[in-house]
Amino acid sequence: MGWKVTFNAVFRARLDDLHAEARSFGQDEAFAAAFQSLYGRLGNDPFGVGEIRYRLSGGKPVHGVATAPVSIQFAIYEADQVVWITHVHRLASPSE
Amino acid sequence: MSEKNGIGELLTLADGFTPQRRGELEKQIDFGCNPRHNAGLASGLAQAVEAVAERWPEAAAVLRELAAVAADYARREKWAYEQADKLMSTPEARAEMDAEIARIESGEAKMIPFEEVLRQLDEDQRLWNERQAGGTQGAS
Repeated sequence: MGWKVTFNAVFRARLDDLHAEARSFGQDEAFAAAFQSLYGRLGNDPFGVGEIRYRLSGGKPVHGVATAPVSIQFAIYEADQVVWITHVHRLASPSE
Repeated sequence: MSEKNGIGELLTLADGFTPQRRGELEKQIDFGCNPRHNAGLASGLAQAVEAVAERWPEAAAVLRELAAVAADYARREKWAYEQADKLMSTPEARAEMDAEIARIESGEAKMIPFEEVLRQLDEDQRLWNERQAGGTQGAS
């Protein structure tokens, strides 16, 4: 793992709710598996994960990746070799 | 993805796979973590099916199944990105992200290692499984 992957503590608290929500829709295993996969990929090659979805007002690119049922947004700080995960969402299944 | 190269037919084929068969086929493909990569992979496999169909029908049959799951994977991934974009494309969501990055860059926001998050997720799931199994006595 060449990159340090960090998580906004504010959204860490929200993660429990999202996990419980995923469980209620039978997505809990997929939810955990998606996180595990994203952690490995972000730690090795964050620029290869997802796409730049938009730029902040200061020009900083915000990346997004969707691996159902999880979507995350993150910023990459190359000089520090750090990935900041700023937002997490649970994606509804097509049948919901 | 377009309807070029018989993508529609491939998606229909994929819809008929059992989850087990789908999983077996997906394991044979090196999907990336990027939607354009995976869409290109699906398109390339679909073109390969067409290229060999007449001369090597047996090879085409193997490739067709792989192309079908690749097309289906790309379709599901596209759908997931569309859902994610809906959540993050509002002016409110963008403003919130702007503010959040500013808090992080100023050191105001607390960041925690992802490893810690994964550990907690595993622990939550373990406890849940124990409760579901009737093991409410605590950790094993």
